[in-house]
Amino acid sequence: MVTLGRMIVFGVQTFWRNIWLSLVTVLIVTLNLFLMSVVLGLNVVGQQTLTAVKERVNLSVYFTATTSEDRVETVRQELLARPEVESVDLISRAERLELLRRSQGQSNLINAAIEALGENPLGAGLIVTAKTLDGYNAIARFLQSDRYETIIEDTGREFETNQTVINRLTLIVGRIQGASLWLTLLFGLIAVLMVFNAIRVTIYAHREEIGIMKLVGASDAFVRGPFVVTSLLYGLLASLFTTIIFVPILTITNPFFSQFFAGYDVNILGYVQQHLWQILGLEVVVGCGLSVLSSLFAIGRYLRV
Amino acid sequence: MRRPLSTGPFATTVGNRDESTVVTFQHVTKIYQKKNVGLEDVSIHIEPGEFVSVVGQSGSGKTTLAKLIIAEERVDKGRIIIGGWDITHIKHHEVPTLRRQIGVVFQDFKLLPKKSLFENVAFALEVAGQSTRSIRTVVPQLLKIVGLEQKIDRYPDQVSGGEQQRVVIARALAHRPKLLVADEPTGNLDTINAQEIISLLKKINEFGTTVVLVTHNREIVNMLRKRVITLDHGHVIADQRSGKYLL
Repeated sequence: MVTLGRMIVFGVQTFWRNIWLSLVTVLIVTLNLFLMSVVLGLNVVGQQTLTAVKERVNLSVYFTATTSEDRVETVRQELLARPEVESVDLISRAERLELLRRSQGQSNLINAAIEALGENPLGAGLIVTAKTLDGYNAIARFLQSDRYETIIEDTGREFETNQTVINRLTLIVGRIQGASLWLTLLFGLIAVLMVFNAIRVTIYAHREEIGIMKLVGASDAFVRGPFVVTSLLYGLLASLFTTIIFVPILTITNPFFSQFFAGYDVNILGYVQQHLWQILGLEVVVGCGLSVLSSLFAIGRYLRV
Repeated sequence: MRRPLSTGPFATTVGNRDESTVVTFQHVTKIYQKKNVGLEDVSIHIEPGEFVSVVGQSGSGKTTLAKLIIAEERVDKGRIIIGGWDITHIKHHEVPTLRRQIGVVFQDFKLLPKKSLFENVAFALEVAGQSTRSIRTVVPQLLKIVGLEQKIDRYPDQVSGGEQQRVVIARALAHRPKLLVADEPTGNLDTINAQEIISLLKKINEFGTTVVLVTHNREIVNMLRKRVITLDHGHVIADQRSGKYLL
């Protein structure tokens, strides 16, 4: 414990004695962590958007007006029995009519037409939600089979339009994910190189002290330990600074995001506030991990013990 | 990790080790690159409590001998036994244990300029994992032994060369070594300071520590009237019990 405590003290001393080098290193690692956070944030936003859009997708099935309620219920049960189906909601004939009226703004023309017909011309409907996006194709094929041809009016057209939008969105999100992976790697590499260089310079500045440590019987771990502690400090401070600047910037830009994602369940600031500790923990793990990794490379390369 | 005393140099349990010598070189050969001979077929036995001067001209192998004792260099042939511990093939992780039990003094002092005299001596104990309380007790005692108890808070550049070398000796004594290796400790000092350092080494030797003094200072060697091993081109050409500087 005494040795570990001294390694920490020596590491902090090394950080402090090379304060300008330490500050520049922390600043650049902070910048890279921030950019990594932004890129990963974009990734999360893309995923959330895709999820929000996917949640809005469903398949509407409309029956002919002559189809009995029992027959509709039978089709509903058959759909629920399929593995790809998540839920099936029934819309009665009256509910469909009400929805039509509401969508047309209580138009007199609609009311007049219905009165002329003397009865509700709409059949019942089913709103089918699949477990996955791929499931809709199978459900649509199932409903287009001959046995339902006479009772179902129209199936899947709305879904096909949504499918095209989703495919495009999936493609974009996929590309964002790919680009963000490379950008994250690039910024991570820059952070690693910065810490590597800082530790290399620090080792050079302390070569005399290292030589004396070895002469008086310091173990390898004791010689190397303080440099690892110093790099941990770089990572720790950089991750703290990143989190500290990330939240206010997000707060300022949040109205823009809210406007952009109006109508969708995408709340970036809320997400960050809800997961603040996890985000801070992730920043610390990534920041410290990269710093320690690069310091170990530098120590292995330049510190012969 | 501190090697258990019973298995380290100067072990208290004897076993099958040769405890009658502090340093044993058996037909030791050390060749540097380009066939540059450091030492060749050197056999030396230094007994506990001896004060041995190793003399010779530049390139004779004096410093190689000192470096081999502290495992800074490895032998090509032969065996080296320090305090009963065969260090010929000492493992890398065992070197710190060896060095904590041998005091080393160098010509260029090797003090840390940003640390006070107290901190410089304490440094040797800190890296070995000694408790802070123990360090606070031991370091002033060590600085008192070398006559610097009044200057413990000064920095190396605030004291003379002779005083700096005394600090180095205090640091070398921090682990209470049975063996002290001094490689040209007076090389950077004037005659008066050099005499003081030698007096200090003699005093340490009188308290039972074996001293190996590597030097090319003729006056000092002749004044000491102790054992002198003379090296020339990596060979021992003389080993006198109470000798003089031959070359």
